[in-house]
Amino acid sequence: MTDDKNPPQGEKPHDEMNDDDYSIEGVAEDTAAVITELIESPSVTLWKLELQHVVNGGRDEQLFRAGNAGAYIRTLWAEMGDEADARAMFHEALNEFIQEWTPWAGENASVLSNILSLIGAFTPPVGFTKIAGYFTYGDWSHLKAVPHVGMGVELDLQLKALATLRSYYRVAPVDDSKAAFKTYLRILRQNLARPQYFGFAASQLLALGQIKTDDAIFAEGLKRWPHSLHEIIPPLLSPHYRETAQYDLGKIYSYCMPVESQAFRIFEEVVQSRGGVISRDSQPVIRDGIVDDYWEPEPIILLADGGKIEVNLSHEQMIEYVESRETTGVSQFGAEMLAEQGKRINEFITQYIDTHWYSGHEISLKPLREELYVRGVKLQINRDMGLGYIHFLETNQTAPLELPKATFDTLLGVLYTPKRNIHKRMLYKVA
Amino acid sequence: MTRKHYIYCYRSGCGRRRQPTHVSSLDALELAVRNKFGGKGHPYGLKYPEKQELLGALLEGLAGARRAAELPDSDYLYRICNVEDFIYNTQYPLSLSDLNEPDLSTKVWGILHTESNGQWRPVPGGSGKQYAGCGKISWWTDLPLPLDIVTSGLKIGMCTNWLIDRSILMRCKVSHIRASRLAYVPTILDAFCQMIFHPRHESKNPSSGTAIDLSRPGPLSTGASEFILYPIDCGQLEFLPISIPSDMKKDYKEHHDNHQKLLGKLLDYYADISAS
Repeated sequence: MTDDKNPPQGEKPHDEMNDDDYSIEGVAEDTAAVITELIESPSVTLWKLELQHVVNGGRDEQLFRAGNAGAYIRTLWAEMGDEADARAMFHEALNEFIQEWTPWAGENASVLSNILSLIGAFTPPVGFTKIAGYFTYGDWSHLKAVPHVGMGVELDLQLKALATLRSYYRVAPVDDSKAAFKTYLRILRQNLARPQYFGFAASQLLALGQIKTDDAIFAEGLKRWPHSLHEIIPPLLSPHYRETAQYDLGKIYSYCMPVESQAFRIFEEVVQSRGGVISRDSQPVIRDGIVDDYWEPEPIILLADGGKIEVNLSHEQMIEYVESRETTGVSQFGAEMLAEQGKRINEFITQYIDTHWYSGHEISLKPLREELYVRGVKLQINRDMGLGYIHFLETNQTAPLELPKATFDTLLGVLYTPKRNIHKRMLYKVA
Repeated sequence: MTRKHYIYCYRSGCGRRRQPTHVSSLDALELAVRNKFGGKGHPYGLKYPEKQELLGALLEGLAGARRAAELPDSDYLYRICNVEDFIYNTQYPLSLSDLNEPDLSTKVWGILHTESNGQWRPVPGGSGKQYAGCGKISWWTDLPLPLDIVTSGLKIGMCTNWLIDRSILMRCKVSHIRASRLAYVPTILDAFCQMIFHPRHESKNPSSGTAIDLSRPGPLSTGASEFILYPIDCGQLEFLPISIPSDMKKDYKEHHDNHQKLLGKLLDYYADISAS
């Protein structure tokens, strides 16, 4: 018997093993042999056995590689000789496997997570009935699972179960009188009353055309649980919902006002997390010879894919919005504080340009603009006069832009040079 | 004993001879495998939390003991991973319900694919977050993976069932990696739980790791360069969703990680390098 420190030397150990890789006792115990047998001779029985292994943690390494149970099954299909045959047998096995499963509150979290993954990936007819049937008397909100990949992530298995039901109805069916669809809608409506699941339920009911953003239940839930914006807004930013997004986002925007509220902050956070920006001003205007961006109160959501969504507020909402922008609750800066804020921004800009804008490095104004926007400021530059100002958006005050000459020259160079020439100019950066 | 167990034995002996500075750590890991995870006799089937428990602290503590890699002149280093790895480890901004989606590799991959539109994209909101895997490291290569993904994947030692049908390619600029000193030569400890790894002689001061090329017929040989990267600022990463349908792998039916022929070739490979 070899040990770890003294592997077999010289002659390779092939003669000690048969091709099926049985142990010395002759029992096939290695995963390799079991999976190989399934790949070479698939059958409904072997698929059901494999599903048991998947669900009970016997294939965690494979799931780690694949990411989830559905992806793992597809890798097996890809290895099989007759993929169509293999798929047909698998679906039959899965349907039987889920038919035999009894959902209960004491389910092992990892087992349940794997079962939901399989149901969600392949939507066996009986899967919907099992989950929806369980929801008539129980739930899994007490169960959390850790995914096979990922550090510090925890899955809410009630939410995963709801997302699994969603797999059956991503859009309304052609015949919306179907009993299962009505059951799904009922489950969603029940979850409108639960803070952890209101966002999901509201988002799905909106997508299925079952509620509107005008509805009181939607408005009240959103105001009560503003964190639900994390669920509700992202689908509305998708190109698929662009036609209706303007109206819906406008409604939601108005519900989130005033601008200093937690809801508004979350609204902005969610848009920004998707690469969007809420633009509150647009056309530049010249005042006293100095270029100054003119602040227009109509908000526009600029999207990462280049799309724009104008948030059309009603007249009353606009008045409320403008008034809230003018008096944000943040007191105007006194002279000393303004100077201090200006100094900090100047230091930040200097450090940013010196760190990120150097020869050979790709230069872009956009990240700097975004960093400044996050800090609540914009820059105003007059090249002819060689002057610059820091405009504080919240208070509408300005402080002088005071950078080292070389840094200011660099900034001017980037601002006023066509993009293709930026690298060339940077090579001649003033020391 | 199974083939995988023999592979483990050969790798152990070979690793000790080629990287003697890590012998004591290797002893501790092998003891832990025997005592705590002894069922299969090797670590090649451990679950992610078990790997993290076994290796996490050790690999993080190796920070000062790894050899810095010499990076190539190419523009980028690349990595291929599944959707879950990408989403969770970059903390990609998704709604809770999308994170709990039962089949992330279908729906979420679809979202990423639409957003990407076939182009490399930065990770949204990535700056300030860091990407890393088990033990706070991840594996990269300078082989341009987007060119013929299946062959490239095999050249970096990936079995065909590791090339998921809906995968994510990542890339990071070599200039950033070099400036931030993130790249290191992989050690036998980094690869302890991986069945496919070529241990390099530390006495020869290797500038990078080298993968085992699975793409060629006949005996296995060394493949592309590979690197360990420490946690990378997600703001420096770009991603590209990539589809790898099964017909792209039809010529490599014997290259999944449980195929006896591949296991036999690996066994031969390790037995051969054990003698050198």
